[in-house]
Amino acid sequence: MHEMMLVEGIISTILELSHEKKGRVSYFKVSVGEISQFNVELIRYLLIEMVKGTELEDAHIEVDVEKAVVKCLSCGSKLNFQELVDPLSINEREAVHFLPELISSFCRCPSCRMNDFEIEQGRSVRIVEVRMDI
Amino acid sequence: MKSEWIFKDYWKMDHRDVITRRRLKEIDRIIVIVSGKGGVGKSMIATTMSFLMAKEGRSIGLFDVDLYSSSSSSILGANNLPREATHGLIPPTSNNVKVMSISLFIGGRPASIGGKAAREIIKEMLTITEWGKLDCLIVDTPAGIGDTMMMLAEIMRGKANFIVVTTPSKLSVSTTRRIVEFLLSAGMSVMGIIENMSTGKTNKDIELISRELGVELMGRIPLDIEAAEAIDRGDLSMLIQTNFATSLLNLLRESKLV
Repeated sequence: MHEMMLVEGIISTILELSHEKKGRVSYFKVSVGEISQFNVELIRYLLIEMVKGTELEDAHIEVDVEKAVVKCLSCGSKLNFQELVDPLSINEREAVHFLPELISSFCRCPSCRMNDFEIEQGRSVRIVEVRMDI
Repeated sequence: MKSEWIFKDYWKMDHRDVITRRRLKEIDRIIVIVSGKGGVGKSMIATTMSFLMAKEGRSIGLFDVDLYSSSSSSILGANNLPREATHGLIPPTSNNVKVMSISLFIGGRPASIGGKAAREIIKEMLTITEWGKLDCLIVDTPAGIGDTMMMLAEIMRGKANFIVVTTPSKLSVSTTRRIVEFLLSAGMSVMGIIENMSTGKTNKDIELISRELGVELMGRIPLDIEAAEAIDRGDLSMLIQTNFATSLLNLLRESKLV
């Protein structure tokens, strides 16, 4: 899994923002989208470890899971992500892990059988909030 | 007096941007192959160009962002899923070219991808692909000015050079003007225009675009049925012996790309 690359990117992004705004980060929150299938505990652990020795080491870190919400754009149904991906093969699930929008290539809406989806929530890992003293 | 600022879902908080910037720094040159309309041989040129440059000893990557009719990877014979490593996905290498394409993930399935989803996929692929150090990354695009073009213009501004492929047909030439105008107005660097499937006669309309918009006419590649056959068969050793490949190689040399 490429969690390390991800966490490096998150830390660098927050550091860049703090330098731009000339502030000291007191808190940041990261959401791990269900669809990404990343290991939340590992992300949390890596964040805590990798901020050590940086300007973020004293910041309070929060990591939570963002529930997946997939909407069928044809009939409007809100779909259960797990039920959509359960029938997929390992390779297909892996493809969705790397590129979540590929869900449209592998799955069909159980209501209308179309495959035009929008991921409304829980797509991937993202920085949700940063608080800084400026 | 200090105050607390709170940034929520702020646009500068997309961690993928910093990762992509780092990856692009490892690449000396990015050439984006575009066209105003389909069927002008853009993928054939992008793929053959990458193959020829790799043959000349350059470290080359080929990024196929044509999500709807992806063909570059199959032309080069790259079919394996990218391998996951600590810092991203390692693109498979075929004929000394590192290849990344959506077809590596979905095989022959149709890519049912709307506008916003297409942007996310391209952004994600740029983020997760570990190209390493490259002399040149060649990007094969879908025809026209759509979400893909907008995305690339946004991400690769200042780094990419665009080559516009056209054929002598009036329809192709008219769309070529539009796409060159778009690229120039967006502040993109346009390396030049390639006239593919040329009949050998001077095309005054293409020359006019070149003159009026200040964009170089890089060269003419002849119509070559044998090259199309070689591509169909996936026979690259046959391809490099065709007039198509020879002309393209000469063009690359004149443009100092090899």
